[in-house]
Amino acid sequence: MKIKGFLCGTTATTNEEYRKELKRRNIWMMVLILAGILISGTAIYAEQLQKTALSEEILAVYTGFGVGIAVAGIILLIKSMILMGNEEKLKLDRLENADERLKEIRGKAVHVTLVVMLLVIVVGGMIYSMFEPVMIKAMIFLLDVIAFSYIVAFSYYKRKM
Amino acid sequence: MMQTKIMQYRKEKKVTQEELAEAVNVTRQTIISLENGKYKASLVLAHKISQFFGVTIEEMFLFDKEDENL
Repeated sequence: MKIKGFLCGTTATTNEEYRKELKRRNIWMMVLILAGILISGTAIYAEQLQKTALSEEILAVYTGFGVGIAVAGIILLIKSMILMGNEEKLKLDRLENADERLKEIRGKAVHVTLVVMLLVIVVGGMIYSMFEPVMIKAMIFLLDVIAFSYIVAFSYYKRKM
Repeated sequence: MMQTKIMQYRKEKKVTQEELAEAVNVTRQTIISLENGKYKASLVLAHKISQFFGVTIEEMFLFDKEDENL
């Protein structure tokens, strides 16, 4: 599955190449919109028609999450369509996505975000688990997932580079 | 900081930052950062810029031997 071009930058050097890439991205946007509709729709359907015991809070979280994803997808899809119809804006967007300096900045920002996230998970988890013991399990699970994905990603790139 | 001769060559050849940015597939801000020495170009970008002006990488980018442990 080719995620590049959806979440990351581009290697397109011409507007035509970038337009083709945007068309591919638009498919992902539609998947995103569909996923959002499905998530919120399923929650509402389960609550209203199947009488599932979903609390108001959980229902609000599921619906909000679904609507959020769908709205994000719609906004990105509209942005993409506007770009495809305007050569100048398309060029500027292409250069911003292809720019190696911006890619490096994004990488550094992700690195800082990860460090902050780890600190919040560990410190917040340790404090909150004094009141909710289940939180320590959640914290350990999250740290395990992060460590595991780091090891997998490191091994992958070590072989690739 | 990495010193470059981008501004010098750009002015000699009467090329704007925007024109150079477009030619090497980066934003104008990256050209500004390179000219100010705030950003170190990758080998590929250094090659593209040098090729654009028809000079070698060594002529375009001035490596500080102490900073770079050369």
